[in-house]
Amino acid sequence: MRTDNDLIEVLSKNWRHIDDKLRERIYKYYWGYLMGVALRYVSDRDMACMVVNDSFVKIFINLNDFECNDRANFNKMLKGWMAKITARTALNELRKHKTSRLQEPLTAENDWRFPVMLQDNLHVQNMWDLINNLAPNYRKVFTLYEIEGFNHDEIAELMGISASSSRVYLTRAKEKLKMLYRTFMA
Amino acid sequence: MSSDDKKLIDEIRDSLLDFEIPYEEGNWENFQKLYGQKLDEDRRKPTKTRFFFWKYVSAAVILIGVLVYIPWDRSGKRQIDPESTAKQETTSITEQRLALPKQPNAESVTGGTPLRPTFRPPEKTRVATTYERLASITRTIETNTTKAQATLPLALPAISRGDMNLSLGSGELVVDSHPQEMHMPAFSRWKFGLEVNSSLTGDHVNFAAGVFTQFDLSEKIKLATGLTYARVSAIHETDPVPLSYDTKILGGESTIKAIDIPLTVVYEPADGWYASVGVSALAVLDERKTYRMESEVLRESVTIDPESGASVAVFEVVKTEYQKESVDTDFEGRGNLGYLNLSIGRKQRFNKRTDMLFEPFIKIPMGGLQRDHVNLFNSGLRIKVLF
Repeated sequence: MRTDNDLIEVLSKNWRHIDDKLRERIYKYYWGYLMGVALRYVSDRDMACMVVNDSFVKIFINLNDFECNDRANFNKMLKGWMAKITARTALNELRKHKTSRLQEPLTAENDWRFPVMLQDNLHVQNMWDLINNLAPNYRKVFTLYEIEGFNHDEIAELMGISASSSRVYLTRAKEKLKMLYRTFMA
Repeated sequence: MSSDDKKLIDEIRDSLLDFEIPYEEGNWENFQKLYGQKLDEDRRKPTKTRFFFWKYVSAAVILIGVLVYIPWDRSGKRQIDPESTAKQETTSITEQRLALPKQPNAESVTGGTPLRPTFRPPEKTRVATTYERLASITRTIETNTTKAQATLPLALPAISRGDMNLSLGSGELVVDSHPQEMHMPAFSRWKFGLEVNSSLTGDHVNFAAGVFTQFDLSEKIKLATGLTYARVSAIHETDPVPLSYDTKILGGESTIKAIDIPLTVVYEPADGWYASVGVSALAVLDERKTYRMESEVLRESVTIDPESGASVAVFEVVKTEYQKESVDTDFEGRGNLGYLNLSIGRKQRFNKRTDMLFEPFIKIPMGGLQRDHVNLFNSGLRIKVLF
């Protein structure tokens, strides 16, 4: 039985020429990770599954274009590349389904600032609860910036907003997260 | 931001970054079922594109080869049956001789020493009127046989010996009387040239340049083929399609780089003027498709209310039009793409060996190029140099 390390080693040597067998292994190995990425943007599981499948099509088609000069971090770089593709695919899917709406007008909470006293062990489910309670645009900007590593100009292009709006959304998303944290963890 | 705030964000980020859900059995099978065909198509795409490209090039090469080696009746290699030709020519001479005014001292040539005129493929000819030719024949024959002195009308123009290659030796009359075009070698009926053209699809300008060859089937009918590299714009004429509440597709366009291989029949009824009709096959090498999008962005700006001094958010909707490249293509890698080509033209002699051709044309999409929402119809001017 070949291990996951074996898969990554095989891939890192020649990711440009993969056969069907290797393709299946890649799909099975990274499916869970890409589902995690997709669920940051879409709450519906079926839609997330569709986003992941669309992303895999793009990944397999464009794997030739993936560049990696650091073999030691091949897996990390590949995951980052795949995550970016999945994020873009998810955002396109959201556009199609018209679910993207600015739901958060400026309210008094903008002035709401307080220091967070962090508990030691935050559970992953708690994290998801926090993220899922963000307004869609805040959630998108937060995940694109903090997790996927896009910069504000890229986010602006992806979301069709200005870079300054992206900065505002990020700041508000963080404020909201702190507020939610206080609410959930209280 | 305090360190605890930062720690919270880091914690969230790290948790989400490493978040995975376990693989669920059956997903790969579903994926294969839904997308396997698409992936296979994509894998075959480069091969398919190359196949179409070489298919068209091979067809052009084979066509040229066939035209070069086909035993055209009008080529100089045709063997003429001496007996039958001689008979025809003798009859012709005799009949025309009868039409001449009788001269008192003249005897009939045919009544003298029997002559066996034999014709062979000529090396050089000149066009002379039948009357002039007959007069020359009569004069030469009667001088050599000394049987009669043919007196020709004084009004006849002087004809040099070079005009008619007529010789009499050992009782054989050799007459070169075929028109020049009958003896044109096959290769001289091939002409080669260069062409450039510019056309319009809507308000988009297309360019093409290439080489072509023309084969003269007859004086008036020619067959032309060639190889042209073309950059063509295709306009997607669709109604606006809303993608989301703030974004819609207004339209799109494709820029196609292709090899165009035409096969054209040219009809030249009058000297210098011609019309042509033909088809061309298109092998698409590259296609770039872009959508024209319009996005309505809610832009906010924060201003200070001068009266209360409070921050006020002002929202405004800003419409932005931009282009977005599409990952899918309409024509790349597909077969059965072609045009119906119609043109008229004017041929102008540039120098002894070169003709310039000015040719307004239209290209009507056929086969796979014929799509309801994609306009590939184009018209323009073609300039050719024919050597």
